[in-house]
Amino acid sequence: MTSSDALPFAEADEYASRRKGLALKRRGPCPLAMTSSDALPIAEADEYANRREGLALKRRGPCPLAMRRVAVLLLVFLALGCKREQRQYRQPPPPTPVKDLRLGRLSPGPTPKIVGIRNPYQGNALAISEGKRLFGAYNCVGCHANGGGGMGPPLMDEKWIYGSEPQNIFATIVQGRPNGMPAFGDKIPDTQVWQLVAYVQSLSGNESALATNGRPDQMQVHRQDQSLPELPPRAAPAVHP
Amino acid sequence: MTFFAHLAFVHQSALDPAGEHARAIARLWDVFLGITTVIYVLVMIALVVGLLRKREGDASRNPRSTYVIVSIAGGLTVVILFGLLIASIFTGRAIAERPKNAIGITLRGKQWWWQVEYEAAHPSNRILSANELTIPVGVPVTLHLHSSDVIHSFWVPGLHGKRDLIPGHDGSITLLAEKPGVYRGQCAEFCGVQHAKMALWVNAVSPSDYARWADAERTPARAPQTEAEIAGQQVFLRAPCPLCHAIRGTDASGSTAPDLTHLATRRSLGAGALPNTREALGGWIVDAQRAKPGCQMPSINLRPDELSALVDYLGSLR
Repeated sequence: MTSSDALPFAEADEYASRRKGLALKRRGPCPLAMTSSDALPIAEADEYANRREGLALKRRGPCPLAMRRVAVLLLVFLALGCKREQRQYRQPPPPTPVKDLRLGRLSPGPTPKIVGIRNPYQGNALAISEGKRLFGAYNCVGCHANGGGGMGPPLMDEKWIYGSEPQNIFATIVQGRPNGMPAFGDKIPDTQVWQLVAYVQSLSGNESALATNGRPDQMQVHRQDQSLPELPPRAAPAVHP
Repeated sequence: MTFFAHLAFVHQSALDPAGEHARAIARLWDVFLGITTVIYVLVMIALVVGLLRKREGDASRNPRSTYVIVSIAGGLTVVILFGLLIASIFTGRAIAERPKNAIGITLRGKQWWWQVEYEAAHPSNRILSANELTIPVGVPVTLHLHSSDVIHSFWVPGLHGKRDLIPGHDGSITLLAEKPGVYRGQCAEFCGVQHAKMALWVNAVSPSDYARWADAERTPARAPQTEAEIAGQQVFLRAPCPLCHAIRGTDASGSTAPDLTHLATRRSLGAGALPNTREALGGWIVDAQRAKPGCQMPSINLRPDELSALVDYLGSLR
């Protein structure tokens, strides 16, 4: 039906009613010549006429529920998947939040308003996998293992000693923390720190499962990143030995 | 522009062999080309004759002669293909030989550069470099091929055929250069966004030059002399550089990126992305993602005076 599918609606409808008339006539003696320029076999043309009628009826009623669901799902997928594969190799470094960071609630003068800073790489698959690579390359695994912890605290549980917000993690990497966490401030470019933040958040399931690795390339030391349970963060006191 | 002019002198052709193995492959290519050309010409002649010949009546047609001609052509095809197979097997045997007393080099494919490590009994005699091999003429060199990320493929057409570098799998290939020269190679297995910029050079030099080069390469980096070079070294050690790069003789000992101990002796930056000039080096440091988008070298934020000193220092590492 490729030729008739391309007909504009008005023409197709007109054609359909003409065919119906023809079909009625055909109960009498069969017309030998088709006046229409379209060379459709008669059976097919009739089928088409019925389909057009059905469609026209349907179009008057509301959109069927199943179709609407599919459309909504597609939109949701599009919205969620939009930034997943975004690759921007040359973007200006994202803002550095260290200046605005407060670890305690007390401050002199008026209470500063703490503006939450979003990780620019949140939900970006490439950034998370780059963070994972850097986590090994910069030897974070030396103390934190692959998130399970060793000399350093585990990163795949719900306890966050120095805060779970992206800017807290950023500051922890950049400034260092007592009892062994080195300050990587001048040593890791800011863009890469943000990639590490995205990966560290994914370790406790606090990154979108749509963006995390489905199948890690390396030998697997823990479950696939996508299937890590989400552990809502809670503050934990630092342990001073 | 000068970079491309410079590349024009570099040898990269499988049809102009400079080594025993490449010659065997080129000979096989000649045999295939010769035989298939003759067959192509014969088939074309038969086609033209068939087109020009007048159609004869059914009575004059001899089914027996048609049968004989088709049988002979079929038999010849089998014999020729079998002959080509035998020639290819003999070539494969000739290039697979492994001499015992070869120089051993470990070559690791990385996204997207080559890590070169000359093996030696004593660790201090090992040479670490990147993207360039220097080998003596007339001495077999066995490359032990490894990959630490994805599949790469070693191919220096002037010296040998291809050999894949497969993660978790040891491969090897033996080269023997017969005349001095620079032979360019290229990763021959698609390995990611910057596969095209993953070049490798083989410098074939006389054995005495090779010994001199190896001695120079084993020494630690040259100490900074001028004020700018001393400042540059401080910038290098303070900036993110030493987390990935090593310069022997300093505290910088990162191993995930190319060893920079003798950086100034190399031909290119970023495995063929840029020529190794002062300007290109400065550009590469502050914006490597422009020259080679997606590569693992981050763009480093430096003040102009810091960058100038750093480039002075790196340029002095001969």
